[in-house]
Amino acid sequence: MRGPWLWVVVIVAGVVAVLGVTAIVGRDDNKNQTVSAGEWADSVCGSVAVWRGEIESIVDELRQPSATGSTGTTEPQSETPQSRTGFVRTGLERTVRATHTMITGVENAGVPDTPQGEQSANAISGWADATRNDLEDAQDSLDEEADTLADAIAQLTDAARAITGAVTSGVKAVADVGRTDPELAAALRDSSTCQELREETTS
Amino acid sequence: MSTQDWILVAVEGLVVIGFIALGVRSGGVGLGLWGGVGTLVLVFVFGLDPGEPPISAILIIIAVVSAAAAMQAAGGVDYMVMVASKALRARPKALNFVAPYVSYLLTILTGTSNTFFSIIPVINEVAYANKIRPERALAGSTVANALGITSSPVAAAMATMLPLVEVYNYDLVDVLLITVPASLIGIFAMSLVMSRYGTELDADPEYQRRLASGEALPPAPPADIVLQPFAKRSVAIFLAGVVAICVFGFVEGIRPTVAAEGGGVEPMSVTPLIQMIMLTVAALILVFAHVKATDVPTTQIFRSGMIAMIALFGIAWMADTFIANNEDAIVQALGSLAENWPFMIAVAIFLVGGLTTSQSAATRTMVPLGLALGIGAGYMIAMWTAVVGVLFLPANGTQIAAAEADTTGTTNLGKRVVDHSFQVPLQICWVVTALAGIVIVWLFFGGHTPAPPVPTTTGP
Repeated sequence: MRGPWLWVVVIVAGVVAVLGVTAIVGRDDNKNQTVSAGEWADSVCGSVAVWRGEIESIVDELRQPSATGSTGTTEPQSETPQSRTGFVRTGLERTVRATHTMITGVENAGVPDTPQGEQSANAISGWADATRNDLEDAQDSLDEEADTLADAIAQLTDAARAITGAVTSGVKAVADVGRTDPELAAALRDSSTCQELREETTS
Repeated sequence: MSTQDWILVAVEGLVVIGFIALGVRSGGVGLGLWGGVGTLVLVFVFGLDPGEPPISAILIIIAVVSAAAAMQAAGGVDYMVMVASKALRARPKALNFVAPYVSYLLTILTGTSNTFFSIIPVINEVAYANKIRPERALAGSTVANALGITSSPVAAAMATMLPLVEVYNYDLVDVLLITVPASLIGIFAMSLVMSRYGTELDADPEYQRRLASGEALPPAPPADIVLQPFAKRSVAIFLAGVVAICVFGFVEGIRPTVAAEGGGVEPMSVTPLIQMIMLTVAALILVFAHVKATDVPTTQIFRSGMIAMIALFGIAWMADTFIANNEDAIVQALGSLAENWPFMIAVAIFLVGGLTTSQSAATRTMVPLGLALGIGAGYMIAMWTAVVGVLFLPANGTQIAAAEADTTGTTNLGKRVVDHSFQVPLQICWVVTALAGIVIVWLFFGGHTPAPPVPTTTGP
């Protein structure tokens, strides 16, 4: 075997090696698995903190759409009102996606090994399902062509409302879980990731 | 998205690939022209909104090519070839290792792969003068240059990455402690492969054809080069410009400030700085190396640079038109792939980079997903280096410029879109870098995110 086919084999072997090693080191999710309260709190706060970082980045870009970035993807010379509207839409779409990812992370946190762990996990799962549906509706709405100016504004505000609703109901779900499960409340308070998140939020 | 939507996205993707294929077969400016036709088809036939042409990259090419061409007109490139050939006299093939590391360092210092445009002609000329197949050094350097983004503290992709992993107690130093050694290993493996890749230059049929037809001139042995009087001076000015860009790129505090959108001021971006400094370098070379302005456009570097610019214009515009309208679908598809099979996350990062041609987009969409799937932050940093997949399709400015600079024809953009000169080094590099990064995390970072303290149990 010579020439290009040898390289194809070498490359495929390399990619398979990456997949194999990733399968070994990637711990996968804890969905439906029992985990310690600390690990659960860490996963939940980690997902929220990652989401927060994404939202900060999206907001920065929305505030500075003409920033002369080094990637060359956003071109100030070419910006038109049409692309500006598109940029707001893109920002919302990215936010929907980021929120969807956060829900996946929270849902994958597993079942905490506390007396009310099962109920807590169910409550979080219920919130995740409901919110995911709301976000999918918001995404569908953004994908549709608006006939009028009022429709276009309604699309954007509906999407923004769905995102706000997802976050508000998420905070409430976690707070409720903390209220009914003191062990989880303590874990949320003491977890290093949650502490990091609190510091970032207050700074 | 409905099945019909997916079919439409696939057909649009095939149109893009088809026009890239037509362009690379046509070669030279044909690449850009067919890219323009592809953009037209996407807009008029498929009703897509036109994307953004890569204006910043084009302006950088103009500025850098002006400076490099002025240096060539002053005989500076000949001088650099002489110096490099002397340094590499004992082992000319060391160029295949040295050039990638230099281009990697340039990206680390400036946070952008655009600085690489300035050394492409030099790498090509040094390789050719020493009868080394230019593809080996040029393709390896192009890949190493793109890989430098994940090792650069001042890159936009790093700014996107840090907030995602900081909460897991990985700061900038930790990220660099993983990506830099992993990249050094990856580049070494790639250079090792590339130093043996392809036939020797003299045995390459395309090169022989070009020699016979006069498209390529025989290499001038470094010993035969007659230096022009101000060659050294032009090199000094050019290198001072490159150093200035690196210093301004690395030290944000010394850059001029501009008004920030949200109020206050912020350091100027590196992109316009590169353009200003390189145009200034060109002007200084005209004055101090006594080069006639009319001689600059007659140089080989100017010709190949302008061709690369036109090629990039059309191809990147077409690619952006497709991507801007379908990024969601691409990310959704590859995100679902990773969600269903988390072990595919590194491949998904690579493919998102390749299909969106944006390292920042791949970072902000796939890294959070990997973290949400429960993959340790350290491992995600190691696998993040797969964003070098932006070179998967031959639609990147540095790829096009490298292929155009190589008059021997060994560095090419392929005939079937993915069989370009950069594919093998790219695949070797990202695979080895990701694996090395994973091993580094496993050995020195304890595998996963630092374990949280055991929570204190409180009574009801």
